[in-house]
Amino acid sequence: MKTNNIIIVLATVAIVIALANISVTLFKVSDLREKISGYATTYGFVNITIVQFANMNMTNESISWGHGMVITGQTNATLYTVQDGAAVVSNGNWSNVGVSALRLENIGNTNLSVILQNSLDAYGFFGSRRGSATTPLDNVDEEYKLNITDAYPNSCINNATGINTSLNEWVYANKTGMIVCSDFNYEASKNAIYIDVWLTVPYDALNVSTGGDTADPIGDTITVTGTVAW
Amino acid sequence: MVTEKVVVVLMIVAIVLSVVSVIVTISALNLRMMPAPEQSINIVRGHSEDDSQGRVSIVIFPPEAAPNLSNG
Repeated sequence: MKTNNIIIVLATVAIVIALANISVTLFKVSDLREKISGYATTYGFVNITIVQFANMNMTNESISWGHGMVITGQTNATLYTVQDGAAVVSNGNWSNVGVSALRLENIGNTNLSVILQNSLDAYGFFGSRRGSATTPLDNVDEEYKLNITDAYPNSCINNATGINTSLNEWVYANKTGMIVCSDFNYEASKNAIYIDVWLTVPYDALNVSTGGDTADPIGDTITVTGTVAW
Repeated sequence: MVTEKVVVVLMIVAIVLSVVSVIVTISALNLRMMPAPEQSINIVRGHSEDDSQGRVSIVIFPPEAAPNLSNG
């Protein structure tokens, strides 16, 4: 009888301990699941390294006006691109077919500061008889200008000081380089700008072409440099 | 009588194993619950630069006749 009582007590103790074991296990496992699933953000562990890199793509990299001349009796002809629309020609007989602005996309993963640099100024481009290398802006019949506009809204965010130009503003070509966009956005559908070009061709340009329709064109190279915007 | 003694011994063993089980379970789970490090996001801002080039070209033929300008 005494032995039976001991067995009953021991069995009861064993059951209690087993229940405690089950309870502790369930509680701890539930807690563990919360921690390893990331559900409890207090203990989540995230280690991400983001490398910012500049990467641009000029999707339209050439403005080619073909052949033409200043209409007789005029002191100049004006030619300029209008984004991806029809380019404008006045006082000249150049064709505007297929002529549209340069188009630049930011295909990297960070905003960029964009600098434009021309190889030539207006006088270097046309070399008019009345022009001068020292005062290339003095001849109003001889102009070479650029205009930056958004291809997508808010692509160029000029929120920094010290930029050299604003959007939608014609500025003279610059051989030393000018910041045209302090923050060139990289986000999709906000990451493209147009670079329109304006040429005022003087009637007395010396940099002319010979050889008829197969004549070599004169031209300039525009270098666009994008660096990670800070 | 012998059977009852065997049962007692088995019960004691069961209790001991249960206690050991609880200790092992708690110890094992605590190993996985050590405090995690803080969240860490590293942004590497090394100098990165890219160039693109565009080309503007035109073929200009001399006009058939220069305009009559007094300052030309």
